[in-house]
Amino acid sequence: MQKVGKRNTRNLAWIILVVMVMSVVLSACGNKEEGQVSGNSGNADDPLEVSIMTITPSAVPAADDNVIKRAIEEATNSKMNIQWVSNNIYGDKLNLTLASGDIPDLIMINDPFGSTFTKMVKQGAFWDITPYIKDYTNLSGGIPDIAWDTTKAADGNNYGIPRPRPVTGDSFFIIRKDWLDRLNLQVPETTDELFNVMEAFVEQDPDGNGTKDTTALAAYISPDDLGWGGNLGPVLGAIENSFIGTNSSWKWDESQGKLVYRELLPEVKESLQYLTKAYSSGMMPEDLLSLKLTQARELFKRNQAGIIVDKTGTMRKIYADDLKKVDPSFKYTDFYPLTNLNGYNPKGSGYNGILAIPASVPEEKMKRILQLVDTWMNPEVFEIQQFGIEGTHYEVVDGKKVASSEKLTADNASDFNHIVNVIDLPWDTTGETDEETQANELFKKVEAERDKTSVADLAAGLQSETGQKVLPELNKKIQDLKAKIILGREPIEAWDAFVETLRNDPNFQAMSDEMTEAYKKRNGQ
Amino acid sequence: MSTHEQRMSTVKGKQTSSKKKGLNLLSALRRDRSLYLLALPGVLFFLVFKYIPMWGIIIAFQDYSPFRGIQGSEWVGLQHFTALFGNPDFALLFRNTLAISMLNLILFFPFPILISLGLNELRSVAYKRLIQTIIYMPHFLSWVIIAGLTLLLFAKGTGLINELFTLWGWPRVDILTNPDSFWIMVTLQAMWKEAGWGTIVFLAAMASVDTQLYEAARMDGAGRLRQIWHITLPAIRSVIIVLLILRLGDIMEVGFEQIFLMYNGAVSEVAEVFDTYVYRTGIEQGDFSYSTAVGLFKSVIGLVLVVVANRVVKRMGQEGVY
Amino acid sequence: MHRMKWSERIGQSLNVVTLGLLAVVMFFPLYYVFVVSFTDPGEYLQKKIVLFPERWSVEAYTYLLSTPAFARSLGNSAFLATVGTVCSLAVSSSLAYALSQKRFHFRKILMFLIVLTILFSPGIIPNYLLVRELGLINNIWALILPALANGWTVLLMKNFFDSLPAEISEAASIDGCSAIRTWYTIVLPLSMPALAAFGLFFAVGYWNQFFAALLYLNDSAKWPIQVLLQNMLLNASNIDLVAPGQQVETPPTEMLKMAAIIVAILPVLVVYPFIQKHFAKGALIGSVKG
Repeated sequence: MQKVGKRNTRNLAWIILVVMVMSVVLSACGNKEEGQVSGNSGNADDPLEVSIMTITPSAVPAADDNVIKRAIEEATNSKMNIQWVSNNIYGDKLNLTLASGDIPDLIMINDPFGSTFTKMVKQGAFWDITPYIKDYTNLSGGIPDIAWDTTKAADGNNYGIPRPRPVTGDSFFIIRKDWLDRLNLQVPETTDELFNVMEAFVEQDPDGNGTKDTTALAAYISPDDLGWGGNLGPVLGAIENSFIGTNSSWKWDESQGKLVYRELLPEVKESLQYLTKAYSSGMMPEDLLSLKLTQARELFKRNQAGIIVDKTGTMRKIYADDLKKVDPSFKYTDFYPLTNLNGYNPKGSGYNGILAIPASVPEEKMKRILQLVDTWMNPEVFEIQQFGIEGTHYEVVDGKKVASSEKLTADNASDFNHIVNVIDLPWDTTGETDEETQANELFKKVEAERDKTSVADLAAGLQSETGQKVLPELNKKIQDLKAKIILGREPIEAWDAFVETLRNDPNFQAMSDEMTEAYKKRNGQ
Repeated sequence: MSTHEQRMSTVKGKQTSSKKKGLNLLSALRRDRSLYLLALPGVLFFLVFKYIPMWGIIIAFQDYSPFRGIQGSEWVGLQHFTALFGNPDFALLFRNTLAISMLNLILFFPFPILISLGLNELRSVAYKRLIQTIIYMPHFLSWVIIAGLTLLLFAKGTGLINELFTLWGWPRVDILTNPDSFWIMVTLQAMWKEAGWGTIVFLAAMASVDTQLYEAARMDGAGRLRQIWHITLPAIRSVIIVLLILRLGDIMEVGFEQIFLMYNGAVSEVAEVFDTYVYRTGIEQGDFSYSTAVGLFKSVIGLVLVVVANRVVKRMGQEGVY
Repeated sequence: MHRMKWSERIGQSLNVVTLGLLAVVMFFPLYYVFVVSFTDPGEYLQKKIVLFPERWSVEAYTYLLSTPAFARSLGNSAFLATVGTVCSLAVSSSLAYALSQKRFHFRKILMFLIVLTILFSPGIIPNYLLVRELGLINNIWALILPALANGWTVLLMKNFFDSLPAEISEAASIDGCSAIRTWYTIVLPLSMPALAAFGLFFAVGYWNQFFAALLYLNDSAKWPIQVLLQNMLLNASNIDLVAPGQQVETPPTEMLKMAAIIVAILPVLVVYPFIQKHFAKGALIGSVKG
């Protein structure tokens, strides 16, 4: 008995040894494989076998035999192997996938300007699809130019299909209309008027409960929010943006003929002084620096803050339904989005991620994949994930498709938007209740208004090599310094000193020059 | 034997032993083959899953690109290290990391030991079990929760503790955005979370002590304190030493998640450590080489300390870690 | 029973009170989490802090338990925790015991090499590549094999084995027992406190696995419980994915988050009392003598 046991142990040991040696040999061979055979036989009519990787926001991702998936496969003559990756880990998973060499045929790149992707593009890892786009009607016509333009790589070419997103509906100020009404105030249109409103929100008991327990802005500064909005996060960043008139990190200075870095602008100093005064007057939470997004939102939901910065789409599920539990007199239409502040509102970038195809995919297949996306964008296909399957997910009522959002969610219908998204469908404002319909109409109206004056980020997609080295550290310093100033721990003069050092920093000047170059190049100057 | 003869025989002994050494080794291996077989799975594990990937540390000396792989990436030598040491904030990062780590060593490290000693002295088994179960619980809460709870309790504006203070007519305290209290706060948080869990190892060691030893000591007239000193502590001494030395090896590690969650602009000078710096400057996204270089730097420092500490411990007559 | 000296009595009382206070400080936040998980969301928003809910609600729990994915993940985690712990204990204790024997020729150098593995770690990419080369991607063993042992456990276990009287191993080998047999039949039963402690560490480790699971498992059906919980909690956090007019899915309430925590740690709290008896004083009375 013992001898047999020993022999088995020894055999096992040998097997492990062999495996071990093999793995040493294999790893020593390094990154040999890209392009595994994602086999397609010669027949062009066979369903396209394609592997896809994209994000999913769902708790439980769509299964392989999902009905919606099957229907789309039928409509596009494809067989998809979809890897759904949780949104919060997508960055890491993406890096690993790129590192492992087993890159799916169609992969969603959430940040096309991240350093890994741009490096790989330079090394030729992905298809340059620019010359092919014109052959596909939906790709060239159905995806707005702004999306194509802002996702161009540094060399001016497109290395992936952008996932278009409407340019309206970006996060902006939302204010408690009922508080305004109760205090007889007008909707503010300038930062000065906003200041007065905020003061009233603090001093004049807008929630009518007899105590001065409210603040104005549900603001917070988080170390996560670097590289945009003046590094102040969404709320305070929106205020600073309103001072400058853009959410971009760069502004074009006609007199100098170059791009100027936003932090050098005098408007930033004005904004800082404004915010410092606001903080010391209690217009934002005292624990501004310690709060995170959830807690800031909670302030609004608890009827303690009257202004937030967010998208109107969040109204019901994130704010209003909860707020109604605390303040039953709150109506959906009191969730009031501002059209402009100082005549400014932000225009969206027009895209959310791009779909890239690795260079290891043979050209024929690459074209078929482009065709797949193109076909998918046709209304009859795209509506599959919008409305589902007749009878199961939607019924036809008076000639209109009426879908059950519950059933759609159960079958992960909207997950497929993270592969292909079409945006020029008319926005249906019908809500589940009259109140919701009214609110949706309000939002639609405001968006139409905003569209007239919205300002895009003119530096979106531009890159500078020095910038990539210098900016991360710089952003951090900016946030830390601004935080201290707003809290009143550093005087505004500290900002002046900081700006001076920036101006004299050769790295900084190099970055500005490079950005200006890139900007001119893209605009064909 | 005269000294001269002694020395000669020792030399001879050494000469003969080196000839016989080869033979001795082989026969010893054969004789103890069961022992070596026993160790084999573990050794293989370390070889395959710890040492093979370690080759990847080489990317600290490269400009690693996932696309090109380790083979194809450019060699840059010590470039990342010069960048690291040349960074004007390096001294700051080093100081903060060291400060938090030292506080951790001085305050946090002894805490579970003291608690275990206290638990060991409890006479009521039921009470001991109750306390044990409760003090383990914080270990299971994630740092996200703990940060949220810290905020809930200690926020200057709305924290519960501060509300209480105001109720009692005391001034409010700011520990979250106060640079002077940051290090202590972080240490206390860690103690709260992990001290209970840390007692497990010591309690297991104490459980192996023969209770008759305590009986015998008491009959010899020793009080509780002396019993602890002469019986309990020696029982856990070797565990303490191993843990201490390993802790020194981790001297540059300070719990990234915790610090990052408690970080804010007001405490930037004291809160920024290597890991948060690498993360916040976005360098990590895609620049694996730099973060690996930083990791390597931290490990080397840890290694030096471990080697020194081990030698010191051995010189004091104790068993070291190796 | 003997009579305590007066000073001893004070010492005892002090000890009892201090430990009691400590327990209260450590217990409160968990109590809070527990309470919030059962509180009606409306009530939670109205009050700042809920010490005892007026309106109870098991909404959060029913929501969590409603998906079949939940039971499946629990099963995955249970598998991981049990199989993983047994494997880990086997691999770690075998190596640790071997290292504790003085006649093991390569003791010192091996221990040093193990210390090195504690200090040096290459990061996620090399580990990922290794797992991939071994063909373990999307395989649940990818969560077990790389986590089988670690230097810290092995070195501490060795420490415990060191404290066993040497006579035991000597007597066993005189009786003709091989090292393996000695380890299995004699040493292990004598080391229950250590095995209980490290078994607990391993089990908790496997149960809490999150990042490794996200990286190595592509198929969501294979997700262990922590991944599923995290996913359920985070699903509405990225609003960028929403088109205008398309309302966001129900976001997690505080209640839901707290319930997820309770669910995640419940099994450990349940299992723990069974382990506790091994930490009792003098658990080994008599066994050594025998």
